[in-house]
Amino acid sequence: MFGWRGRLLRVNLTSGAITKELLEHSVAQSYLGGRGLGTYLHANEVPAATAPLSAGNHLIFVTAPLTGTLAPNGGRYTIVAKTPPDGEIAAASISGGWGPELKFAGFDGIIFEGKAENPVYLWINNGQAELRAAKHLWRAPVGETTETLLRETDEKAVVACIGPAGTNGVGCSVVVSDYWSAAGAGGLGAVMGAKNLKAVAVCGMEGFRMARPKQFMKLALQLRAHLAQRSIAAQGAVLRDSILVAKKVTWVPNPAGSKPARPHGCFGCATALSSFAAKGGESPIALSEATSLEESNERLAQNRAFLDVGLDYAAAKAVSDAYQPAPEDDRTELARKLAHGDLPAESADDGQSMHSKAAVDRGPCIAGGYAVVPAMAAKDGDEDLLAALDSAGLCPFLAGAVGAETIAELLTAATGVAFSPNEVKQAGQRISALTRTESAVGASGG
Amino acid sequence: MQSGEMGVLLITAENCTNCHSCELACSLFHEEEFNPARARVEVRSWDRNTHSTSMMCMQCEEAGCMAICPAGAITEDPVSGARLVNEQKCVKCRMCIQVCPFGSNSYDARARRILKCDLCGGDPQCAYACPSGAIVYGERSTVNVAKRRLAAEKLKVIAQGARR
Repeated sequence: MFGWRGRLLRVNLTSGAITKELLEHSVAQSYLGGRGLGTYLHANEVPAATAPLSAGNHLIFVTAPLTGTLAPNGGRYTIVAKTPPDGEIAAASISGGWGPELKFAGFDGIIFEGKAENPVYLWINNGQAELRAAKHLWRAPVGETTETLLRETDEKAVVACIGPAGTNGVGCSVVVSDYWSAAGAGGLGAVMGAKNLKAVAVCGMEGFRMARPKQFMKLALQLRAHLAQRSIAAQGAVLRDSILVAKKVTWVPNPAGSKPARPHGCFGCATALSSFAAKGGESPIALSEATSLEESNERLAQNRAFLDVGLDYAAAKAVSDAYQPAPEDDRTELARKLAHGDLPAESADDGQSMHSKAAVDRGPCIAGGYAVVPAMAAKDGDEDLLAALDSAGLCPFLAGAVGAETIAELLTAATGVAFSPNEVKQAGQRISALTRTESAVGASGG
Repeated sequence: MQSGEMGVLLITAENCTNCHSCELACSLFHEEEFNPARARVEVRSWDRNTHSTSMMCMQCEEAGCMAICPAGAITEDPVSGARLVNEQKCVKCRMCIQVCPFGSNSYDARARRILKCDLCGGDPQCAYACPSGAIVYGERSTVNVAKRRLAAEKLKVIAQGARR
């Protein structure tokens, strides 16, 4: 198998049993990976009536055929589970180095079943996996958890974990990987916390091959060059505090003299996010809502304070606005209170937040603390293409810049399976149909 | 590159976004697989991934690895100017790894050989893959001109102040 690793890891947290399973070719070809494969696996195994915070719910971390490749913005993986409050299946796309690292360790995905008796974390080292006690980390914030785990495992490992918000079962808790990337979708952190699973640390040095390496290199570099030439804007979506940076961008000198925060690229990202003020050739690609660099940096610091306790900062911000703190109010303290349940974070459920009831197929994700990539509802029929993009392992930011032909070419060169643009569209249709059915069972992943 | 002058890779750490694209391009080109562990370039990050930079062989003019190699296995490629490891001559003593001031070379235990940047024969793939200009390939004498210009911009303020 090219592109895919062909193996899944099944971890029963109740019994502690860890087994390796083969990924079926036909399933992989039909549902690709990410949102598609994850939703398929979840829907196949978990009864519709399962409560999201019960041991019966599965928590699935799954990569895609283009995850960890040079295909631009291919650092994606997806977390799938039934989420509170309604038990909708949410599939949240997330970035950072974790997904690629899992593939370098030899797996396409992990299925967590049951519930551990005591807090644990999973440590995967090149095809070997073990559950370890995580009692000492249970209440620790994301940064501290990650740093401790890197010391306990391998300094080159990548960690996905939950913060206190997840361990306390707060509604808008997220799973955070690489410190600053997060999977939203209304309470995935709480689902992980309910399983007594604090973190998953992965280190992989195995590498995986492409069916047509030379052609893949050519396609990936071409697409990167193409992306560098055009501005990318998510359709109808507001990307707060963020700017897309591409090659040959010239930084606009900052009159105030304060230092802008550095650009942050997720793994494999060709369009890194930044709070720089930047101009890209002819077309300015600034998307920042902040009026000054100071404001932009201030917001980044706030966002990261929320992320560190494992909270979806967009939702948490909506709550904090509801509490109407003074502008200079200490957000770190507020974030801590929300994460520990001292303030009810659920009041964010006002339609503005991640708990919005609007039907969406995929959960929002957070990139680098710079931007919330919203659960984008694509325009007119593009929904299938977005589903294919998501399931192939590419970033939703590329929606609109990458068509079915490009996805088909990349998938063909990567996997050796001849995908035509039409087949990519059909896979997209199949996946959105599946997500819709499964959403109807619960509701949807917002 | 236009002229026949030999090229170098210029690293601008402040442009690095920690995206690891250079490692992916490098390992696919050399090993036909995606595997940062076997790439000849490595991205290091610190401060919780908020700062990072790529590191690779700088192709030193007075290369310590070339001087110390007991087998005479490291030589200059007359075309690209890169210091190349001749795998037939290499005795795997790893002195080149120990002597490198940047800690750049590494040992591939699986294939039992030295991993060292060879500038992809004069067409480095990492520079193509880098989306933010953190790795740029250019002529030895002119590649740093943009960097120098930026530094000069800062000095301009001092120069103006002094005149007033």
